[in-house]
Amino acid sequence: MNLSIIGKKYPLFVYEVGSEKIIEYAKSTLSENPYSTDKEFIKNSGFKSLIAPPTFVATYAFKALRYVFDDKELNMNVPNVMHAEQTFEFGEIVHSGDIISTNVELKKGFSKENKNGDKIDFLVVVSESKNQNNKIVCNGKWILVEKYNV
Amino acid sequence: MSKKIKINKYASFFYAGASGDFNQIHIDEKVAKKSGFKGIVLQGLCTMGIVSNHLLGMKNPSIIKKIKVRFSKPVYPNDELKIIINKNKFTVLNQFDDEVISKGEIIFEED
Repeated sequence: MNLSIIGKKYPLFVYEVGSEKIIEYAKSTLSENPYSTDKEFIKNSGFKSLIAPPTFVATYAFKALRYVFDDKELNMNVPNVMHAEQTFEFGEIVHSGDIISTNVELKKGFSKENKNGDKIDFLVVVSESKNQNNKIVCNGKWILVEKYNV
Repeated sequence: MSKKIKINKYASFFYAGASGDFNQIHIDEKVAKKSGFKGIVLQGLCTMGIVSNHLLGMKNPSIIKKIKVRFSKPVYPNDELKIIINKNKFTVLNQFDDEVISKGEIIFEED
């Protein structure tokens, strides 16, 4: 990939959180947690709406990450890209009905050779997601690796 | 150690629909094999989500303040995972005792 464009920022991506999407995501990650799957439980517990599982950030921020994967200037060979590391730090909780805005930036990039002498590119992408009250809900650090000579 | 977590045969498709991650290595056997895998690979963030949900249990999701993982090896449909947790650190093994997540860290509000 083209690591000369480190520092590039992408357009803000805005995502409205829906209750059915929270339930779908929770179930796809084997959650039966009532805070994320049971509307009656939420109503009886005094919360305004369903609470997203923390890693639901994968849904609202991943769509912002699409800008990176689809960036022709970055020229990533997506099938050869592996997700190497992931860190999420959480702020305000995310409810259904929230509007989440995510910024994504290419923070760092470098290349190494593996023991076979094949080139491997490392890309560190950071994301910052805020809710409609301008409060941070999640900061993400995504480390992606592109292997050559697969 | 956790109970075994069985990865459904169609897990990567369910997760693709839920998250939007339709990278072809997660849904297309031919592309996955051409990319050096033995078959369709589960999305790393799906594994991370399954593990964090498992560690959270039935508590309020707001208590998780940080989670960090290194994806060491691919997870495939039909794999059986187990989580080894020691205080705030964890690893995830597959049915062959290979580490598929290493250097895991989770921080809860009460910590």
